[in-house]
Amino acid sequence: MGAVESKLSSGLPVRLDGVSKTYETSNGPMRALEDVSLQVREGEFLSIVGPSGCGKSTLVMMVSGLLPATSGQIFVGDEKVQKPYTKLGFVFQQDVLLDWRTVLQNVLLPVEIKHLAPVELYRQKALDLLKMSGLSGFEQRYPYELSGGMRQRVSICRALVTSPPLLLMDEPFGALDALTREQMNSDLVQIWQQTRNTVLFITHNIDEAVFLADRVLVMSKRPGRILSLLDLKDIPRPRSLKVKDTPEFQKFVANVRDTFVNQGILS
Amino acid sequence: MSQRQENGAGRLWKWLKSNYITVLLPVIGILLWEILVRVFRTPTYLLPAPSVIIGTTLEKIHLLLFQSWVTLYEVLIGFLLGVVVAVPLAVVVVYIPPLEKAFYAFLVSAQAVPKVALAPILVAWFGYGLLPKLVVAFLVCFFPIVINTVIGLQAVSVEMLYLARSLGATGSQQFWRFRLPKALPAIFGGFKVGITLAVVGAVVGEYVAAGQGLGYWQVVAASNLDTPMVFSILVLLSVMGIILFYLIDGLEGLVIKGDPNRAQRRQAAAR
Repeated sequence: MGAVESKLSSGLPVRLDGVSKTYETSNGPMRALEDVSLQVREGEFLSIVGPSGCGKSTLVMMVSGLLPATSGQIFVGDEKVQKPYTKLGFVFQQDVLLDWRTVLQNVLLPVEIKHLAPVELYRQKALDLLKMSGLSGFEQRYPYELSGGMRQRVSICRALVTSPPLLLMDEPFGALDALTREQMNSDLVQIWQQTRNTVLFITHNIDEAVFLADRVLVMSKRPGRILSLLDLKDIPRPRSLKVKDTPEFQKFVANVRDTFVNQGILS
Repeated sequence: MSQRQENGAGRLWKWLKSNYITVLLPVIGILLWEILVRVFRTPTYLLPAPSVIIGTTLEKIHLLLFQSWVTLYEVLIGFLLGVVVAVPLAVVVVYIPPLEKAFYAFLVSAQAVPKVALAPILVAWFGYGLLPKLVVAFLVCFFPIVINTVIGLQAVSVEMLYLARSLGATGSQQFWRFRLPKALPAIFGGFKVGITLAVVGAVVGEYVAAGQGLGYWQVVAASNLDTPMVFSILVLLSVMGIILFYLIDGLEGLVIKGDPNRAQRRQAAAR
């Protein structure tokens, strides 16, 4: 594990240049995202927080190439994103596990789809990831035998098994109860401190956004614009849940909340 | 663990203990039937006693088994034809959206046609041989299989397709690794409805025009007022339907992994 940790970053930078998105709806065009320019550093954990419907999901969907931008350009590394970008891990709000596959088979799905070899190496990687996620002993179980939190852990392992330079997480813990969510935050920090890939993490939970990230991007109501970008380097790593009790942590949470209050999003 | 080590007799005993009502009710029903028929001296041509039906069945077992085979053959071929045509058709319909609309319009009108009422026409077209029975069996089992397969193939969620695409899955990978496995429970649901309907279809085909098969012999027996034989055939047809249903159910268990509903049923049965 020491070897992995010493390699500080295995991520790719992400760049958005004046990205906008307009959806054509039956009520005419709907502006979802307004001129977003952003530079995500390699190996950076960026949280994106904003009110419901502010286009944060649209933003990651466009970075993944699953959704085309109406205008503007997106780059991952040096590559311009124009079609589904497959060198990334994607974690959705729903775990989207395949019911008919065991936990281990689910984690190995990307390896199978992409015909990666040697399989034995990835198998070991998958087992290590599952162990790190506290899922040892569940490798041969089927998804229905797992709790919601465990299922989402499996889907995170699946996203990480190919060691992607970029990880997109779209409200991954939104469907979990508060206590499980807290635990998942803690576990995700532990795992990421070892993988160090670039992460775009969407949430509407301020606490979660601040706890996880190197920087927090605060977005406005629809159409989504960047309200502020907070640098959290004052909150030291490695982090544990205890960090939430520190004045620095609370200062940043208050800062984000104030931004929302000033915008009339919170009152 | 201890359950696995138990022998067959032990398991059977355990099953009987927890399911005695399931076993007892039909036994009581049959006994009651036997007693009432004897007490009221019901004429055999109206309602034969269970003992008489069993006696007739044993007496004519060779004929009945051979005729069962004839009917079973029609059922199986009709059903397999249904599967072979219905499943690929459903795939085409799902993948070509304009076809889907046209297909549903056709389907609604086709559903309204009582397929068994086509039997006389089919006889006129295909004669008295095997073919008209196959076609009726095929027609009645075809529709539930198509409909269930279409519904199953459409059951895959948007997020799952996003996942597939972000993994770079090709079209055929999306079908074989995501859509089809997701659809299997619904498809097997269609098979189960289809196989029991195929029995109905084959028998109706035999009613209309045949020289053999259980349906034909039932018509013959009925016209001779041989009611025990009519009942005996009814029982055989039911048994055939039940066995075919559970064969498909068993096959489903082998093919589909990780189905929570199935696992719950298994646990409930073991309890």
